[in-house]
Amino acid sequence: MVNPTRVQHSAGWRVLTALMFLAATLPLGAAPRAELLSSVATVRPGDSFQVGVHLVLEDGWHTYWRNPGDSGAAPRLRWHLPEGCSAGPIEWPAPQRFTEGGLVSFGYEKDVTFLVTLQTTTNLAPASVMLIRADLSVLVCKDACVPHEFSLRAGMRLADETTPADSDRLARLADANARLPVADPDWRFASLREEENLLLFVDLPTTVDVATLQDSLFFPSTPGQLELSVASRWTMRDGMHALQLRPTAAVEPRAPLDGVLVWPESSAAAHRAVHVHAPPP
Amino acid sequence: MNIKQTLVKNITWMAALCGVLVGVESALARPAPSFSLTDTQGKAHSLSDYAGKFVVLEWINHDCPFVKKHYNSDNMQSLQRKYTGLNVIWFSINSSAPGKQGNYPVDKWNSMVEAKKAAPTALLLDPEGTVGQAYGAKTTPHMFVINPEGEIIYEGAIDDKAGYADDEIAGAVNYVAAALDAAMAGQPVATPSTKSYGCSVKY
Repeated sequence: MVNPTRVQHSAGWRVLTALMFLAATLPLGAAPRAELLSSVATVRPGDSFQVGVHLVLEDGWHTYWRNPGDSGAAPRLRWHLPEGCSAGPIEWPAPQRFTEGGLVSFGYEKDVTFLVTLQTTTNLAPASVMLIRADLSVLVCKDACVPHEFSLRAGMRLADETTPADSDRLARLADANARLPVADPDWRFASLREEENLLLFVDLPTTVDVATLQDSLFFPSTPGQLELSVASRWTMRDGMHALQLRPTAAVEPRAPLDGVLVWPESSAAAHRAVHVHAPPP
Repeated sequence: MNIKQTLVKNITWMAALCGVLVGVESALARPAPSFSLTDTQGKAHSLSDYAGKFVVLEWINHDCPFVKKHYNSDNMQSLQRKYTGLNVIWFSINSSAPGKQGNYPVDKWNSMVEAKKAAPTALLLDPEGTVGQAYGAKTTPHMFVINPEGEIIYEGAIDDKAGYADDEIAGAVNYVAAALDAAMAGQPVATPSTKSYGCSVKY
């Protein structure tokens, strides 16, 4: 059985360093690691910049997307920022689908970076260094689920110019950005209730190979909207491509269907993931 | 006509055709699947033994962080005490398969019930998962409320705070209490179905 004890990364640099030393020297089993990556070394007050919360999981373990699916819970970030600095919402990388005992969940394995844009104002309190802190609560599951909490810190100098972080951090953030779904206006969507099914109509750009649509998986961003264990299938309606999905009994009939279409690495598709916003007629 | 207009036209046409079907989706109470399971004291319970009473089914796994949230805060136990005190039958059911997380020998179950001051009518063991599968129990916790006529009048989450943090009990809307309070007062259940949240049931 997995030890359900929480890994509590305590406040304070010295304690944190000591814990990191312990983590590196003791076999902690399924302990994930987390790091706060900043895209900048210095910030000019008034500028915005991107940060990433990078989580590395042990083999076989996964954590969750914004909609965790049938079980699990979405990761939660709580920001502790100085006055004059505010955080935007999490930008979620394209998720994977996991099935276990007939239950479907959405999330990530191996590693994932949650991206957030921080906005500063020109009246940022003067200080030589701006310290930012993100408290990450994350549920990590294999056969069992273990909650983990991290208190992550980063610092950047306030200066006349915003300057980029080192090339290693920038490369890791670039990788993370490449895993975000794109919002492409050439992809158009609509949803329609048809008896027991919900149809997701896709009007795809002419440049896209229609055959690759079959490789894609749809991930609804609102929990509880679809029966996830009912297999979806592509169908044609009046010459249009439609993904046939099964809504739950609890779903509001006029609710828009939002989510992402994701293609696996193995697909020849040019797109890796696109945002879906499918309003009802 | 461009593609967008075609899409809009076709969808409008189909909406007109199917419009009669939209909104038909009413929450018809489904009959509660019958079952017979043995509790941790070795006593058999059949659902039919409790015809004429309200019955609550609570899927449980004490190693699950979401279940811990409701037991560490005494939230689940206080619901059990309150409603069994009102003549409601409350079964906690464990569907963990042998060797899977949350499947314990009966003496460990009994000591856990005592240590947690749990107060269900009984804790039923479903190691083959047949009852869990019949109800469609997906998570721990996953809650079902059955009326005296043997219909499921509520199924889904225990409340509207789908997390595992202890600070998420306060201010949560408890769907099970709402369903029981309404049905016991002869009122319709306002929210008969929600998405359950928690750990997966370890079938």
